[in-house]
Amino acid sequence: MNCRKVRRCLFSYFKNELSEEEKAEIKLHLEGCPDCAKEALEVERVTSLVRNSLETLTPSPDFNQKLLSQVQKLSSEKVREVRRASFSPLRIKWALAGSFMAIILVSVLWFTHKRTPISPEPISEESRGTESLQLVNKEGREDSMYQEILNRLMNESQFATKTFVLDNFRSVGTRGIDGMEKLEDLHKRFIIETAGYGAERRRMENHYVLPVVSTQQASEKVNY
Amino acid sequence: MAPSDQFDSTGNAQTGTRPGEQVSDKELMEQVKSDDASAFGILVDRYKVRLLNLIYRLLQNKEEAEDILQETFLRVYRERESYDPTYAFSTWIYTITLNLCRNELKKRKKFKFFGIDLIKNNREYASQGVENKNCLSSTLDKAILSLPVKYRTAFLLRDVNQLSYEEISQSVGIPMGTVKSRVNRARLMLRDKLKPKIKEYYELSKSSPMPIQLL
Repeated sequence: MNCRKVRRCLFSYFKNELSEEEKAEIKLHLEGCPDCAKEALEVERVTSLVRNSLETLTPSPDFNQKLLSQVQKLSSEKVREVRRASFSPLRIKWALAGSFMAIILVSVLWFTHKRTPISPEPISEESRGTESLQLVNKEGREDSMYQEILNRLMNESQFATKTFVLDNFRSVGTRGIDGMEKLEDLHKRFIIETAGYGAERRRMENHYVLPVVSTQQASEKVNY
Repeated sequence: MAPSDQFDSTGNAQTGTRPGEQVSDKELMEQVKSDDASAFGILVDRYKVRLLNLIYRLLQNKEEAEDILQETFLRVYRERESYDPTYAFSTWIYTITLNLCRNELKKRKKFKFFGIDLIKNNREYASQGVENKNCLSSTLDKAILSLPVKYRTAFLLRDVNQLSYEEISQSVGIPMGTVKSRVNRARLMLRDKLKPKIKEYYELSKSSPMPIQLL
């Protein structure tokens, strides 16, 4: 083995990635070649440094607890599909059936319309169980494409409950077909509260979305 | 600390059992599929430290790292039904972790123009390192963080998290040959960056009985 080849293999040598034969060859070479031996020493030190001297972070003490509470929510909640036609007659009938819910919707719509900007109160414990969110813009008009994207986000992403405040979507500009990206862009412009952990409040603009409360939580207060 | 001990506390990566432990990752996942939260908790404890450190070294931000760690486990739980036991659990969870990190990095790229995130991260990282300016571990950290992401990822997975080349190839989604070359490049780059410090610490260690890492 020549020096060049040996040096290329030095890391693998110390990391036990070589065959017995190769190891023996290298060892032999190192015994006879002081330059390569010096190089080998450096490599050995680097590998042992990496192994032994890296600072190890540990998660915060309440990490498990926070996680498990999220998990419990996941296993007890039944995730329902939000129909696309959110304002279809069927849906309205359903909403009206829980009349309390209807009242909330209407008053919240009015509330949004009248007051901008508003700094939202933190979501209370009770309303954390919102199963779905409905996107409306400032005029209170539903936007179904983004509704679908939002639903996907809700089901897949890290925010168990979100409060998005959305103004006119169009002001963000079109970013192509991948609405997921676009909505994630919108993140940065919204007030986001991550339920439970690492509350992250990035307040950019005042935009609101209506939380749609399920019949289970119809009696609970909606804060946003 | 014994060599190769730092994150290799699973012992056997294939079955996911540590010496002295009875239950494998796969068995635990079976229980998790039946909504067993305590089985899930065991899995979390097994993986949280090494995943946290991996995420941290990829994203350079402690808070975000913990958020992503949380999301990783949530995803594991949410998608528990779709876990296929013919594949190693560790490969699966690493895949999820790396995907989330990748997405986060992509998100950041978008804001490169504004530079906000970059400034935030640099400032955070710089302030963390200040107390330890002369500490070896901070030098090491800096050297690792200076590696380009692709090399850094391969290096962390191989030399810090002790995954096999096979597992890395599956988790990252690249051919084995690519893994090997990235790991190699990373190691060489790292060595070059550490060269001056190595000599210094070595010289110091010769005259002092203290092990290198405590200097």
